Parts: sequence; structure tokens; C-alpha cells
Amino acid sequence: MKRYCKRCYASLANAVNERCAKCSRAFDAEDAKTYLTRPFPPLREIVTNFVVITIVGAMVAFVVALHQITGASGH
Amino acid sequence: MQQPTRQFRYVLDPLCLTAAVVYLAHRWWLAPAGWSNEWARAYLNDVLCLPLFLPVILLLLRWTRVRKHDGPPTLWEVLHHWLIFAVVYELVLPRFPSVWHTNADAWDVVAYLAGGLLAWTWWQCGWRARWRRHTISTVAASEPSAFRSV
Repeated sequence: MKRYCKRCYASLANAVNERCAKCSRAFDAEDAKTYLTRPFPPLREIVTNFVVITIVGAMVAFVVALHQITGASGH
Repeated sequence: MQQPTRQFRYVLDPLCLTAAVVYLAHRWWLAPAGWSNEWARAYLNDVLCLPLFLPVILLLLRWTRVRKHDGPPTLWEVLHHWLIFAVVYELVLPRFPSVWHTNADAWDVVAYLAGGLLAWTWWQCGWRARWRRHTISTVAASEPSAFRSV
């Protein structure tokens, strides 16, 4: 079974001392919760991250827009 | 050889700080003094948008552990936030002119993208230059003979 790092998604085939060769994140070959079986996160995590990132980005955009409302931006 | 950790400095990143300085200089000095032009007054802020605010957003995402690394912004992160800013500023806010006093302008979208891509190129090239310097210094320290003239 192929294993992939949960942090950087690199293959763990070249791992040394059960640590990712790329980012040194530790994993346990006997515990499936410590690694991924595909080189990308689960769909649920992808969707959640996308939504959270969009919300945070939009919030910052609105804060900047408030700055423009006050006329201080010069825009 | 394992690559060094690409430590992105977020709001302390030189490009982010430069964008902030350029914005402040234009806003409080150049424009009021009449040393600006029509293009700068219309689009400079838009070009500076992503270089200035993307590091802030990524820092917030890092603190909330949504972002799992400290590397420079990826192309996906730049494009995702370009889309967010374009939708908010050119589609959402213009629908409430009595509140936001802004007009939709397609060239603003181009300006956001141009600023974002230029910044991404700089961040990526800057990391590669540091990696080359790190590689050279590491090899020089471990194998001085490799740098002796023949």
C-alpha cells in the first residue's frame, strides 16, 4: 500500500525512521490515521478548506472596502 | 539533498512591505502633490492589492491551521484570492452603490491579476535564488576542494 505524508503529500516510500523525507513529519506505518493513501487530502478537507479560505479572503476584502468607504484610501 | 524550509515571512515579506510603502507614498505624498497620473490613481491600488493583502490572508489561514506550510504563496493561492477580490469588488459591492460608492471596472480585474502574478513570480524566483545560495554555501562548506581553481 502506498503511503503519503499528511502535511506535504510526498510519497513515504523513501521515508527514514518513519519520518517524511521531504518535511520530516513523523508517521506510524502501522497506524493509518498518521498518513494518507493518496497524494492529496480527502475531498471533505478540500471543500472545507476552500470554503474557509473564501470566507477569510472575502472578509479581508470587505475590511479593505470599509477603508475605501471612509475615503482614506484615495481610490 | 533535502531542500531548506521555504520560510515565507507573511506581512514581513519584503514585497508586502514594499507594496505597503508604495501605497502609502502614493496616497499621502505623490497624489496630493500632483506627482501622479491618471493610470496610477485608477489602478495602482488594484495592482498592489494582492501583493499587500495576500500575505495577511495567508497569515490568518496559517494561524487557523488551514494553511499547513510556511512556503511562498502558490499559484493556486494567488488565483483563488484573485477570484475572491474580483467577485467582491466588481460583482458584489457595485450592487450597493449607495453604500460602497464603487463602480465595476473590468480593467480592475486585470490589474488584480497582474499584481498577483507579478508577486507570485517574485516570490517563487526569490525562493529559487535563496535555494541556489544555500546550495552553493552548503557544498562549499562540505567540499572546499570543489571550489579550488584548477
